[in-house]
Amino acid sequence: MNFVATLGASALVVSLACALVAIAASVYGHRAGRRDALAMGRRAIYAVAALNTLAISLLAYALLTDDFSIAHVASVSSSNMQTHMKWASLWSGQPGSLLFWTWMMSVWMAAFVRITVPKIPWGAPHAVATAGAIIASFLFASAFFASPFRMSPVTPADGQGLNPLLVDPGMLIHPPFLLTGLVSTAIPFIVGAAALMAGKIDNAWIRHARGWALGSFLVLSIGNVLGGWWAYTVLGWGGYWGWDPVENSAILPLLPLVGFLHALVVQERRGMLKAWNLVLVLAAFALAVFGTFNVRSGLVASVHSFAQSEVGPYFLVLVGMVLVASVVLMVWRLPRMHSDYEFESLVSRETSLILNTYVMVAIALVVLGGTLFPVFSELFRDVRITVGPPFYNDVAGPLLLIMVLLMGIGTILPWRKAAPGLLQRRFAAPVLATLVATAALFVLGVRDVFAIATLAAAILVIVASLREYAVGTKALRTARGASWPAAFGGIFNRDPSRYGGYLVHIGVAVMAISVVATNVYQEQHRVVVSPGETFEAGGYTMRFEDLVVRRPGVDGIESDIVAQVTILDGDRVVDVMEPGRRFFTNFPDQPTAIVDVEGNLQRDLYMFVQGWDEDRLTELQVFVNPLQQWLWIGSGIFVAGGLLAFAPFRAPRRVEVTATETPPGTQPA
Amino acid sequence: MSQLMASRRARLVLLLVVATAAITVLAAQAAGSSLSYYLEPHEYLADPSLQDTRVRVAGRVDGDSVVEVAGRPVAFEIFGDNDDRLSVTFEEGVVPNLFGPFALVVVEGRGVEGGVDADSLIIKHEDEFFSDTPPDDSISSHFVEETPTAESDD
Repeated sequence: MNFVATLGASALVVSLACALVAIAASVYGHRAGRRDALAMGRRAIYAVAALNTLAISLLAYALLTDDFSIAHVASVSSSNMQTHMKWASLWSGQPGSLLFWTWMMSVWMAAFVRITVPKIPWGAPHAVATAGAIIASFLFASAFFASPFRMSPVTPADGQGLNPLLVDPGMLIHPPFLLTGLVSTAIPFIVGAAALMAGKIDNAWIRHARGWALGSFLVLSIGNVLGGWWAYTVLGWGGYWGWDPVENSAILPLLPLVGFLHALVVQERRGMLKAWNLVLVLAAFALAVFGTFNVRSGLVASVHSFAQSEVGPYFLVLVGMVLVASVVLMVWRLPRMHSDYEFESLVSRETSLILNTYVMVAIALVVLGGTLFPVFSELFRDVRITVGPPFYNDVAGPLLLIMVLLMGIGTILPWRKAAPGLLQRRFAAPVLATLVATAALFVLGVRDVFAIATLAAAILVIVASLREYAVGTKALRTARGASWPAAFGGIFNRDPSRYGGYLVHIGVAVMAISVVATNVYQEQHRVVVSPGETFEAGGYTMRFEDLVVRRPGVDGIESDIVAQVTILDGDRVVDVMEPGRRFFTNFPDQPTAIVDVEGNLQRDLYMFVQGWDEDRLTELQVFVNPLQQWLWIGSGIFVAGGLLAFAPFRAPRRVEVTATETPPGTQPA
Repeated sequence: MSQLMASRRARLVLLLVVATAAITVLAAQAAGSSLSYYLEPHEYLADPSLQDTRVRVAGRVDGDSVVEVAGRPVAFEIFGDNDDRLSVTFEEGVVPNLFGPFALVVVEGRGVEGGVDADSLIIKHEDEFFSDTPPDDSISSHFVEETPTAESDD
């Protein structure tokens, strides 16, 4: 008997039992008014987290000690893998990723029960029971359908090793962030569902869901950006986003989450969008579960999919249950979701926020529709039809442009309504700055209409956000007599979500500029050259020196074959790039790319090798990606803004720092 | 006053309805111009009307059929579960990681007689991997060691 496997499998089964106890104790405690039962329900969630931690620790131990009698260890690890890659193999493959998902979800739930549940007595039993039900459904799959502790029929002398594509440091960070971001959408869902069950459709649930939604948004965003960075630097196709169905699944929950983070402000300040906010948090989690189903079902052809397995239909049932429960709860409580106030003007910040969340949801529906197109076409026309990247670019592209534009306009618009004179004063400087910058772009040679429009919208966002910082800092400086730096720091302290949010907007604008530049102005060069031959690509003179072989001797790598390419300025060697192909012992005929990127703030020189013959005639592909680095810089700004905004358990103290510009009576107290 | 408010709300709803209609039309047009039929090899071969249409076909690469130019695969055959074969030409585009014999690929391009003129090639990864021993004549044996290391197996 394998002690580790037996203990791990037992931990999962007992954990499942604890999750069921959490449901039963919460329901009973609520009905019978028994506080001890409610406490038992909460403790059961802690027990689930503890047992899942034990289970994943045991799997990690098995991986680190090369226990190939466990099938999962034998299929994703091997004795010559380095320790950090063995850690990475913990969340690879179906059973490993599912265990990681379940463990991380239970940790978030335990934190939620510890931090938030005591503050929501109106919905505590509902929240704990919902958490128990969700975690039980995933534990059931992990314990019975895709157990990571299943034994190998015959213990192999060595494991097969990690899939070559995953043998990369990116594997250490991208999947954990992405999976954590996806599971964390469960918490806003739980708060929303508890509010619906308890009939408490006021702002209370919003206050308690905000921090969790922001945390989820942040982690999920980082996970997606890391995915793009990994695709770019490792996969060797020159891009960072391919509208692959599984990539789509990862970004889908993010869209309603972002919508919620904006729409909740409208509910807090204007008492509107009560139903809409609930729909957004319910949809975010439903889409996260859809993603787990999509990646495991074999439903759509994706570069990421696991093999089709019995766990796929199970997750489809789960998606269906989440949807049905959400719809039933919404319909049940719909009569209570009336707005406290009405619109005073369509030219107002609340309208722009409503439109922006609408655009978010529209993008989500377009992406979901495109992803599921083959399924619907098979259902209705008995033929599987897919849509490719042009579909997403043509539809989501304009919507993203509108989203960026609304970000800029919405930042400038005041709440409720504004006199024309005020609007003129607020818009004058940002619009003028945007026009000047756009004209400069035109003079510099930007002619593509879509590129100009998006760049103008991005510049408007940056200028409008900077203006908000300036106005806020000036107001606080006047009020406190503080120095400029102190007043600038003070505005973040006063209203972290607002001013952190503007930094997120600037990050998005910078990313949008990079996305336009890399998509519209990317140069691609394909050359076939012999050793010693010189060629031109992207305005550079390059010389292909030769192919050399290296043998790292770790992680199942048989050899790296590297093309040495020197970049020349006349006779002077400016740089040496070394793209190549990597061959693995367990995949001898299926190499992966070794990408080399030489980047600066203006452009990336991106190079990879497609192949060579016995005479070393070699095909190289050289891409010039303008402003590529700004995508990562924009992501950094985005994350910094998200972190600044992250004050989840503190109600923001709002100071109307723009009051000096606002006519009396137009701002809420 | 309430009429005014109702009218503001009605205008917003109208705007959203018009926007939804516009997005739907845009999506329908975009879908129409980027459709491709997703088929198994036997389905594709059984329907000659698919020639000259955009198709996506999934199958495994026949390692013996791969034709290379400068080491880059430009033509190969793929086969389905019941060994129906079709030829693929792939002269442009990026050869994906892990392309090789028996790899499960999805090729996308224009249907031609008995095959596909592909402009996109993706690998569909599998959960089960195929163990193999290193070949006697390794791919790297033709190359000079740059800097032999302690781990070198030569």
